[in-house]
Amino acid sequence: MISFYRFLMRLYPQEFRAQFQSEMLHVLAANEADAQHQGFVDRCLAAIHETAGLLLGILRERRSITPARRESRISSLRAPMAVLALYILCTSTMVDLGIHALFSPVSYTLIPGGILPGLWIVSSQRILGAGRNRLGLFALTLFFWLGLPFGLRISEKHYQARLRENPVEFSFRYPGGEVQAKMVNSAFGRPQGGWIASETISLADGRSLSLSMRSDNNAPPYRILIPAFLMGLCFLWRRRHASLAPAGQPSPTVHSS
Amino acid sequence: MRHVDQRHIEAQAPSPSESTLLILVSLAAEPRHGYAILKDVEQLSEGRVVLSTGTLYGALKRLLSDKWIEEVAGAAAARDRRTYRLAEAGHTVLVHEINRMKRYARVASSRLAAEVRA
Repeated sequence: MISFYRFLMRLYPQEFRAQFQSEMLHVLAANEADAQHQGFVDRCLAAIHETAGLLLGILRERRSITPARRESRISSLRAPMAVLALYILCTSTMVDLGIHALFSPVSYTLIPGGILPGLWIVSSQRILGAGRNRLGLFALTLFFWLGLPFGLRISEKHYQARLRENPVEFSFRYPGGEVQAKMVNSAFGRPQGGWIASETISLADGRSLSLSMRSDNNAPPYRILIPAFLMGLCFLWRRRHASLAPAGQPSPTVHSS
Repeated sequence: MRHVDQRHIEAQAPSPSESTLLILVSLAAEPRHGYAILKDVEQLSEGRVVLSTGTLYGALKRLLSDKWIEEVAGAAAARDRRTYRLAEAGHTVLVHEINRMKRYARVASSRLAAEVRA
């Protein structure tokens, strides 16, 4: 149980752990030793009691992080611009792949997605500082690796069901791409040019509904616009933060690698 | 004047929870470390209040930040066995809380007695 308690302790804010972790583990070990003389049911109840106390304590401590402390965490943003660029590129690419997952099998997005979260974690850790907010990083990684693809898969199935119910041809354009849906009797002929993702849904009457997404070479490539926009936001954030730094204290500067 | 000040303090200070009060009572007798506080609170409340370790240290952190308790300086205790004692502010809060409870007990007793007479 101590290993489990030790794991739970990692969910406490870092400041709390630094102050109380070893002391709490000592008390938990003493309580565990006391419980050895009790019956199985009493030991289980004691373990549940301690676990619930720790979980409630974690929630309480996490909620008690004040805006000032949040600001001080943000102020520790430090990384070379190359790492920031990598972080933004990975994030935007993962979002982009997520959008494509609407029109192509999710497994396609998982293949590059398996590499990108790794790069993303490395760059995030460098930006936030090693060991900081690991829980948040873990949650975000789970989201990008599991939550986003499987969530999109569910929405994709829902979308297919709706298309089967109302099989109508449609087409629409957006900056950088085009979506086409078409009823055909055979495989959908792919148009030339741009990036293409297509999916064919077989219908009960033998026909198939082809759904394709095609990027347009002439339209503004929004994949490039997303990182550019995020980079701009990042610059603004840094500039604002630098201007908020108190006089006499060094403002957080970007260390060049 | 002192009476007014005390009433003002009582009105301003939030009433501590039962577990916090029991921790303060436990530390009123002598400085104790975490495990000793747990056991003493259980004994004080006759087994009615059993603090979990998470609850205890959450409360200790708040009490330390409010300066109601303090670590015993210079104690030869290891990092995993620090000792805490009641601070001046904690002592004041405890006295006010006991006075408040005494007042409530007095009023409740007199009302119950009046009900029995009726």
